[in-house]
Amino acid sequence: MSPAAESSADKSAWPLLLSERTWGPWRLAIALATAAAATWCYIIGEYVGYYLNFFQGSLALTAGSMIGMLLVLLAAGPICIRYGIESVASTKPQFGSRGWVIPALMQLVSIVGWNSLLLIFFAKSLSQLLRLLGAFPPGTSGRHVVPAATFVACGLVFLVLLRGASGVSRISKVLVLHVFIGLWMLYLLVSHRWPELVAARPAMARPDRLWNYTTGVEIGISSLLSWWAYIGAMIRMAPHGRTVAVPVMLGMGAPVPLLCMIGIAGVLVLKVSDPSEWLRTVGGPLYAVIALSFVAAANFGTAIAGIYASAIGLRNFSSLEELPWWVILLVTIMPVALVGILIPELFFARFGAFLAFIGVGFAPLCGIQIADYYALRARHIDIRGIYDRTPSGAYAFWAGFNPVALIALGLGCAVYIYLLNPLSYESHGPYRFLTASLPAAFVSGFLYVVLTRLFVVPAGRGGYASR
Amino acid sequence: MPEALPAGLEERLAALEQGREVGEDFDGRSWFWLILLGALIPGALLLIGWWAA
Repeated sequence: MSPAAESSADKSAWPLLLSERTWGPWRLAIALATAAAATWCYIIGEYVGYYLNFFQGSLALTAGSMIGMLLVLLAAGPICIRYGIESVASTKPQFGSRGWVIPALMQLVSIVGWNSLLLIFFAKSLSQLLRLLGAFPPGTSGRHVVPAATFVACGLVFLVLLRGASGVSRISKVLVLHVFIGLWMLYLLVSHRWPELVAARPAMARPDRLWNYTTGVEIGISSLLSWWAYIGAMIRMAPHGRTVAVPVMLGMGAPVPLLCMIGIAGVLVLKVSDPSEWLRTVGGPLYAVIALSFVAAANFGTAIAGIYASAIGLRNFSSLEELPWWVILLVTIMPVALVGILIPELFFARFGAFLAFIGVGFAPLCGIQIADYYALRARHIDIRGIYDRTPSGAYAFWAGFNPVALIALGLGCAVYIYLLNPLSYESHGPYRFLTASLPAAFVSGFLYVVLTRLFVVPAGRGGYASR
Repeated sequence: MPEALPAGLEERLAALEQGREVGEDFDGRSWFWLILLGALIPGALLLIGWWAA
């Protein structure tokens, strides 16, 4: 392998060789923790705090997050770990040599959405910080700061990612400190306001206790399912399953619920989840400066990981395969920058629906991947088939699409929406006992197995017969 | 007519197909942690949260 090819391997969607997969457990855990801990934790916590008290909300959210993390890791993890590929490429055995564009679009929409939100938060935090430090002359609104800061943040992300995965790793070694600042903020709120926190009642709790509790779990699961989009690009840098399992579950799965507790506590006690707003109330201007710096750092670290994952995912498109890395980065960052600069407030207002969308799409996708890898392929993947776009390729199915995967994905989404309307939170059937994500994942996986055995295997498609 | 893959990719695929460059799947120890952290502990937390509230 030429040195040039080796050095640029982490900027392509090609499989990484073992010699290039040098991240150990700590390096992976730090990168994942930096990526996971961001402002969305407060928003997720806020949603849970509408329905549950601090104790129940924290436990339900933690349990849901760990379950969601497990689903994501079992879905994309094995293929990414074994062959050094990222999440989108890992869907080709199920969706086909052309059908993978559907998971790719889900990834792109998810990452653009989340990162737009994070960079808007970053820009708002910076604007508040400058105001607090007296950077604006009296009488000026500073309204241009948010779009300008978003633009600058996108530029910084671009510069860091010119180095590929090593840029993600280097920046996360510094930014991981914000996770500990977040825990300090949680301690601060809990220690200062414990009696109020214990006595606080959730504002939108329904009379049905089980429904409230299940909704806390569901929010945890669906939020963590969004990590499907990120996880492949990170874990492919580690060489083995045993290097990945604990760092993912603890490095990525645990910081989110821990930092979400800040949001739960904030919304219950102070009716606002964003610590940059309430920390000034609790500790004065100095604490506010610390909180705003924390929010800015946290969101920046996550945006870097997100843009990297999305850029690698885009490399699967043949038209983008050969483009210089900096062009791919620009293509990935541009939508994020446009949302953050042009429609930040509109996007903010629609966040709830967006969060719900994540669960609707990713739960069935995880179910299908898990069922395919463990139940149908018995852990055997044709790595050449993943890159073979010809009609005779292992994963060509029918014209490059596997209709069974599309049906299973569609029905899984329908099951989710029937159980829990993601916009109105109106629920039906066994939602209060089962959540919506878990049945959606199960139904999709089950249907995928049954329909594949009935139609795909007898037709000799999808590389099942060659095992 | 099979579509030719880029030489660098072809080289990588050949190495993977020979099994030299394939990473290891989850082993027994990994499964222990996955089940503990992803199923047993969440299950215990849910029971505690429900019954202790």
